[in-house]
Amino acid sequence: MKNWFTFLLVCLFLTPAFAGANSGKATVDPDDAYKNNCMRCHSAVRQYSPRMTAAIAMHMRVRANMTAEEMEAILQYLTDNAPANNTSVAAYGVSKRPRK
Amino acid sequence: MNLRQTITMALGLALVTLAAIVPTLHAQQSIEAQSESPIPVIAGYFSFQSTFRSGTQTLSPEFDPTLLVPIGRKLLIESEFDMSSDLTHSNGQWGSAVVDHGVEYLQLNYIAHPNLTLTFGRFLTPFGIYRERLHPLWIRNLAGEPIIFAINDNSSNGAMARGTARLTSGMNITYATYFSASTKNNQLSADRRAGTRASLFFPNKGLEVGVSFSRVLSDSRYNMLGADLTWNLRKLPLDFRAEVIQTTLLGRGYWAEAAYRLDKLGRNRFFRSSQLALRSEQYRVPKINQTLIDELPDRNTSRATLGWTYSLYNGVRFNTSYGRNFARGDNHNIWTVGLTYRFAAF
Repeated sequence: MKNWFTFLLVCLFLTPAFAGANSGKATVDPDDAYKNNCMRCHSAVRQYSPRMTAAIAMHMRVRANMTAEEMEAILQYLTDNAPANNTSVAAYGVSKRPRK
Repeated sequence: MNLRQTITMALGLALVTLAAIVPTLHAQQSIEAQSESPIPVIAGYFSFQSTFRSGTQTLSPEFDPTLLVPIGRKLLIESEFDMSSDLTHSNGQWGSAVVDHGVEYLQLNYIAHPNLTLTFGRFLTPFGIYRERLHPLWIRNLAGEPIIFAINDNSSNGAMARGTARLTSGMNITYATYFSASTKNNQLSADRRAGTRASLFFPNKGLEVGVSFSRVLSDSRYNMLGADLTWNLRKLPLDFRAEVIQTTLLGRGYWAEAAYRLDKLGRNRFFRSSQLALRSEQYRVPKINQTLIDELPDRNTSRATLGWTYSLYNGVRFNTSYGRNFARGDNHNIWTVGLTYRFAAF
């Protein structure tokens, strides 16, 4: 049992190291990244200023175990779907793209 | 190999892995440089919940502010402070009003690699899915917590390595491994423990399957094993979550929850903002009565809960639910109604 546990731990730590070489090459569709990650828990993501959104994205990257590419794709999605009059503080709005 | 050797080996592997990937950091094209630089954010929620059960009414105001302080693009300090109270009205009298407060987490995250984040400080113990992902009231499908949540309603003080890696275009592996030191401080209490959680996430299918292990090394030593499932169906507006926990000292149990958004039923505001949720759960007591966690029932208990949430504008959400508790000599109804307000500013 403990040997299995040790083996799993070894695999756990080594997998990301090897996977890291490939992860940068993959491209992630912003729409897919948003739906596949944010909408697992959030029915709609509120809109904030781009710099606030960047901070919240850092928080969610750690909390939700997202890759760097997924986080960037989500930031891209939120930027593309931001209200036109988004000001520095708070432009609140329910995401315009409903969950499918 | 004993547990200490295993933990030492795990930490050693983490360091070896880190050493192996650090040289690649500077060589990577920083795609993150394209986005706006982050600024500090204060977020959080206010909540007011009322719970009614046979002869007892409980009012539960809660305030949870969260602070995010990014330092560049690799470092993030984040903290959540929890302040709540349970005012109980029973037998015609109100109980004492005691405000509970504490630090849920106060952690420094260092994004060392696209697949590795190192965390130091006080953090939510990554066991299962409820504590880390669903503990904020404003995000839950049902305001009431599952019975077995009490088994892992805690934070850890120490260090954690976590991250995710894309194995194939349709599959990610995620992991979180941590060690916590024992702390007796009222605001920052924690057990001495070590554990790990790993999961496979299939983004295109909306499916994640995870397993958790934790070894508590305080005065009472015991193992905790857990498994969890999250499935966001694509063809239906239906989310499914489930978690099962097995412990040697605290008992075992599971909860399974389905949430159905009504937006497919009509275009008017009522349907677009409504969600129904149904939870089924069971808890089985250990062979020897446990006294470590007061919130756990002292007898085998089953519960079914049906709830409705309605999202209003400006981050305000209304929720109500009805549950039925089944236990020998303790069958009763549980009604809950409440409001939650979510905010964010800087």
